[in-house]
Amino acid sequence: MIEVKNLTFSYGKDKQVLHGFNFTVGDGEIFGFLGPNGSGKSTTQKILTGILKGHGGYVSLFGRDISIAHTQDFFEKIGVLFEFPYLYANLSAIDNLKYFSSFYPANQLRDIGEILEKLEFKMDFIKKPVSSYSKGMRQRVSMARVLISSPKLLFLDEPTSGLDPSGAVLFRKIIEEERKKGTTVFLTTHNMLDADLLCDRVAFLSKGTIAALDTPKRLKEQNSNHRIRIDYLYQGRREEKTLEILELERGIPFQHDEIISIHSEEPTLEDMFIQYTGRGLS
Amino acid sequence: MRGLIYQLKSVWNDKFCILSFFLPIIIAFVLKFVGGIDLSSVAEFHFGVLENDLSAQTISWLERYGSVTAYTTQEELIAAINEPSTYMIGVKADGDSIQTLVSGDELNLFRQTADTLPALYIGKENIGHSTILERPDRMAELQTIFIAMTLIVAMFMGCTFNAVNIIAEKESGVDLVNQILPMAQSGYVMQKIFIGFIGGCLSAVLTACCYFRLPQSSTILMLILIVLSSFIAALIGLFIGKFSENFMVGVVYIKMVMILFIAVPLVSYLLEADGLISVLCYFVPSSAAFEGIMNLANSNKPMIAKDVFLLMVHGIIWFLLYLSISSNRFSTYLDK
Amino acid sequence: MWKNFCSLFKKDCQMMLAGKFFLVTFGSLIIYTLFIHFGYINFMHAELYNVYLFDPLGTQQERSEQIYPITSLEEFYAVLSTDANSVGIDISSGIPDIVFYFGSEKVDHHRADYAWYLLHQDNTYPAQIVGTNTPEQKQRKEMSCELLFIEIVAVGFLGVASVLFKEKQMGVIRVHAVLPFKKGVFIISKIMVFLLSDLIFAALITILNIGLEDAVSILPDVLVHTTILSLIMALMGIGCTVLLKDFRQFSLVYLVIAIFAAAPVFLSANTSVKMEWIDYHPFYHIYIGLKHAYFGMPVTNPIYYVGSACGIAILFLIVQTVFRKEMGKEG
Repeated sequence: MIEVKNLTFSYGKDKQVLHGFNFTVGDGEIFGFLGPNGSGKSTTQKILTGILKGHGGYVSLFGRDISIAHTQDFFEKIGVLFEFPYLYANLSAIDNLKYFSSFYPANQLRDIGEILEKLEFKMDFIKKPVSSYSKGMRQRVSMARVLISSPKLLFLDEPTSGLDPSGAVLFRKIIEEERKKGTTVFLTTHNMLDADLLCDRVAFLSKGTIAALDTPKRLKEQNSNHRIRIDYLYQGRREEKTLEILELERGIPFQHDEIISIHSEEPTLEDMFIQYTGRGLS
Repeated sequence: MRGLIYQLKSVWNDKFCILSFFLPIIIAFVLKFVGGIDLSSVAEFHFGVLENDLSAQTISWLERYGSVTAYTTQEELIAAINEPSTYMIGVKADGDSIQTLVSGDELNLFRQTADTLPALYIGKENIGHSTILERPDRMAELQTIFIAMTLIVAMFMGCTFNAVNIIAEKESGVDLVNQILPMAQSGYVMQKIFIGFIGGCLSAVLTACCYFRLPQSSTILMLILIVLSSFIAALIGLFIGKFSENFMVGVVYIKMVMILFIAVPLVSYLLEADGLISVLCYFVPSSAAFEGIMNLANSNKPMIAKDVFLLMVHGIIWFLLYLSISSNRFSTYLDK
Repeated sequence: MWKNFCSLFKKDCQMMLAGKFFLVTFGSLIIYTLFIHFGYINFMHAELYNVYLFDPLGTQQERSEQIYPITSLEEFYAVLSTDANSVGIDISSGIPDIVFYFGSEKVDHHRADYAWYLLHQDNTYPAQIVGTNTPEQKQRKEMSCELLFIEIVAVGFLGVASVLFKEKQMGVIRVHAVLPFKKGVFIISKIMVFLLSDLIFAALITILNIGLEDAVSILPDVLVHTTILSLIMALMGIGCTVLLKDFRQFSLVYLVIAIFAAAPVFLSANTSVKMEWIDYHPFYHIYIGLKHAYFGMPVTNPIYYVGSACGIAILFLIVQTVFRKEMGKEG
């Protein structure tokens, strides 16, 4: 779906922000782009969506070189969710969605009411102006805008930003459903939980280069210390012990009355990010 | 005080803002050197004649009254007479006399001139002695009016700046933050007035320095006029900012106030308004400012005291009015 | 493309309605109409010089009715001082002496000769009228033209910028960057909304102030020049909005443009003051074209129309390029 070879970009003479990216995104894959502010995430997304021109290297989307690919056809096949919910504040949700959907062929449009219901939008606000909505409601309308045209390729920038935990769970569920339909998702985020739960592969960005690129599982496994922590009860006392996995293969080597829980001491994705890039996401 | 420093920093970072305060100074500079343009042709008559129709003597006689342009055909002459931006009088030979042509839509002044021109031609030998009394140079008077207007505009920049500043805060949401800051009402008002007031003052002072060379006592009076007028203009900017929901509405209010500020004193001066009309004109603060500047330029010092007094009254009334309408917001805060 | 244009056009109209632009324009129309009907045509009167006679010896028994007698020398000089254009005839010494304050050389010749004429005779030789307008019609047409020009240059220009700044602020411009339509249509939609508004305004101000009968003959030409001016101002408004950071900066630039666009044009077009460089001022030619249209003297030179069309096309291409570049910089 997406192929990027040696992508470079500068905002001026001395302001090079991308120093040679190489990656591919397969059809139906959820690809995560993680990096702090200023690492080149937005620039990459703008280049892929055709907003920014003048890049170096080779980029192809839908099998076509991007320098000639940004036709009306191209935009009919993509959906872009920006970091902030950009909507017409003086129009209602339904007017905003009707307006933005009017640019797409009618045969690929989905029902507005159905999408909003799926996104658990408060239907009594549907005809009120967007200026009266909360941040979560605006994010839902923005997501509806993106999904309404049944895109084949989704660019999502911080999709769960501004949502409460149940909203975030809902959005993840919807993104998963899109993937099952065969939609490719290019996800840029600071949220490690989203990346861990959703992405088939993630790329760690730092200072305009990709520091690491693999599945979240493999990234964690490669750097795991292969230990587990066991919480247990013995003679009425709660205790814990940390063991090597190899030790466990021979059975539990200590006395216990009841095992309460077993946790692996696998690093988190954030730990891996810090390890590869030398800094946190903030 | 610290808040004021950041406001100044914000202005300093906004280059366009600084440029706008320089604009009246540039205009004053240009006007000073534009004195070379001859505006006397504005008042002259313009005559159109056909080539080889009138004698050289007749044309010389017409040139005593204004400019004469010769046209090759009757159609061209008629087109020039009917040209809406000029009041050309056509002149044709009519035996021993002349016949004038007009478009029919000119002011009475030109119609009467055209109607009487043949009679003047007939009696052109019967001219006697004239005594011409000296009058101050019209050009200089016109220039002084332009400069006074430029000064008014310079002071008005403070109004524009303050209004736009407050509307920008409303649009960006900073206004909401201001409402929950532990800031006294007087502090808020002074902070808001300050930048526009200082900018308007500086702009007007530099404009005045470009043009006027006044004795010391007059300089102090001019400074008082500028300070008071800039303060009032800055205050009015606060009102505009308060009542404007957004930039579009704000700019409309700014335009309306600017037209009032410029048109009322100018029209009142040119028409030499007196009586009730003159009193009504003083309701617009710039009338007193304009009159004061013209009186200073004409060295008419006693009248300036009246203008200064009027400006002080305006300043106090507008200030108290603004405090009273803005106190609602602060009483809500204090109650909490 | 037509469907996309209709969507954009409808949205722009909604934005204008929400921003009360049409209300402001309608309000301006009412104010202008009232001003013309009840202000300007009553205000614009100018008569020839007053002539005052001081003849204590009573030598002039037969004199023109247009000469005003004065009974004292003090009053004589006082009235000359207050009525700056007036002319006095002092016959206190027995010999008539024309007295007046200096105006300008050529006008003073006329003032003196006019006073002598009134002293010796009173005949008028009515001028031949070669035009078709009355003074009132001329004033109505003149003022309608000027107000229409101001409205398009000042208000229309501001309106398009206001709408676009609002969209910039809402962040929806970057959303349009990823929608499937030709980006030029975004600009075309905006200029069409303002063009339509300006054309309706031009038609109404002409009909209301000049009368339907007179307006019908001049309206097509007036609308052509309105179109040229409206397109130029709308494109300039879009260009300024895209290039400037916020509305605050724009409002200051707007002041500059309004002063430098309008002031020299009015001075040159309505008086005999001609600045050497005025021929290079594009608005001057458009204003003259509009004024001539009002007076039934349409511009027939094809270079004017070709030049205007080329200017608009070049401006459109520049604005489109700048707009695309700025779309990329957003966010």
